[in-house]
Amino acid sequence: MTEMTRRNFSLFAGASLATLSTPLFAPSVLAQAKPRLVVVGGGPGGATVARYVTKDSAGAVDVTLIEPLKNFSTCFFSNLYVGGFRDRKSLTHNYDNVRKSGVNLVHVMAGSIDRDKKTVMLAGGARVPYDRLVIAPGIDLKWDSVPGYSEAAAQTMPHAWKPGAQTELLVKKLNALKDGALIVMVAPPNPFRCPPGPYERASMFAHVLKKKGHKKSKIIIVDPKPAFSKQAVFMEGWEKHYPGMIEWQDPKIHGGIKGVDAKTGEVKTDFSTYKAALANVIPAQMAGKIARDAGLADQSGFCPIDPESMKSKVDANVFVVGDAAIPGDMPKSAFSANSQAKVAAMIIRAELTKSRAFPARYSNTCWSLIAPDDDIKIGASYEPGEGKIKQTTGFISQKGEAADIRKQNYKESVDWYNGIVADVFG
Amino acid sequence: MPGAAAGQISIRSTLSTSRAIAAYLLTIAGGVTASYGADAELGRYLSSECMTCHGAAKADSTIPNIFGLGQVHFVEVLRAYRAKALPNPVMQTVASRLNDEDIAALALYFETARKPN
Repeated sequence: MTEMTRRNFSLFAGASLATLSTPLFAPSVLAQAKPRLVVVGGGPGGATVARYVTKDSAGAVDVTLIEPLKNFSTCFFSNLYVGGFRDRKSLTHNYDNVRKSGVNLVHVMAGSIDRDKKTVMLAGGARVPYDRLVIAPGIDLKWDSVPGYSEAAAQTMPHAWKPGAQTELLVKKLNALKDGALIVMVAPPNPFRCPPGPYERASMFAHVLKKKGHKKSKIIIVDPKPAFSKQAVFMEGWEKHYPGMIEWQDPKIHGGIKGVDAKTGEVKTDFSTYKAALANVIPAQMAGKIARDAGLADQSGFCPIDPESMKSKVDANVFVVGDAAIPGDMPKSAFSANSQAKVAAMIIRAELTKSRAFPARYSNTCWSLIAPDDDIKIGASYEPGEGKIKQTTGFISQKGEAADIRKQNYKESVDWYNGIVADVFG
Repeated sequence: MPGAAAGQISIRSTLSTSRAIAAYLLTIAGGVTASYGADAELGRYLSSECMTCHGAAKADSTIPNIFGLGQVHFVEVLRAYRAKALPNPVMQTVASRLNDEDIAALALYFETARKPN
């Protein structure tokens, strides 16, 4: 094993040091004297922390971002790709501007964390030492939470709850459906990434089928939950735009989800067995493996954090942001991850450069498209309270709102997307 | 600040304010006059919440560019959102927890900060 220093970093990772804020040929002793932040995971949580600490410390902190992908496809807005409102390219972002901002990029999978030695072990065996570590690995899927489901079954019954090939598979299957087809979605239990996501996705399914002129196709959502995010406005929208096409079943109706069979396309509940032309199975979720393996997760599978700082409750040198964390009242969303990242970045900058810290504040808004120009939203502000991140105020779209409000919401969501990806990726 | 573009028009038409009048109103209301005593470091931190939506704003965006906005006008608009005199619920929620010191700090930051990219 080798220790990754600034001296061998570029050789290992292929990173260009010419863009770093520190002079290229600065004595290594000076470079190494800088406090070191290592971030694992380059999504909306991790990349935001890396950029903000680099920017706000004016180069006083040596920041390394470990992310295997060179191009990151956002899970947020992927439903609009399913619905044909966005192309794939518009949801894909590289790290060129993150690198230009002064962050060291390592496009290698992080294998494990040695918290005693304060070191991240890369898949190739190299070690990356840290003074502070941010873990933002996102989610893993609990395959066996739906009997009969597995990683192999996902090749036939896509979850598409992580971006990339799964989303492509889902879209391909959706576009191949003939009139009279049955789509069955198995919705996930709480807590899960993007609470309104399954229901926006069902809306996009319906939009595509309607646009293709389907009269007899149907979408059944079998849900382990008794209620879901923005339920009243979603259901109103479904009746308005797709009357009779989408049927949502709570546990009182289906009696329990018994399992799926990828070979036959069947989804079995206590109430019935459905033979689906397209089954979209979204299983239960947990923090990414590296966080669980590092002992940062509790029995829920997610990582408890200090609401004042986003620090792990089990290690004061480690911060957990985004979907892997237990965020109190906050939903798991890109907006939340980005917001949590800014609190973590502020605390890390203050600790490592002995500079000023401020009280944590968090916020979130989630927009969901039901049909063209009919977009609904929910949002809130949050602060530490009662030992968690506690909601302090909030809003939600209402039934019967004017069409121009919903149209404005959609435009706003598109502008938000442009804003957040600029904030995350530069 | 979603909706602020419309909001700027609205507040001008409904409150008939000019920058000078707004500054006067702030003074008599005991508000923080923007430049004096505003906390630049606090403004920089608080601005990170704004950046999620406003960082890439263009001329035709529903979410307006707030970089370079005059402090007095900035204070005026945020106070209007806080009072729910302007309509967008996202901005009403954002502004609801900002006190006058927070708003002055943000106004100072955005008047002088450069828009990224």
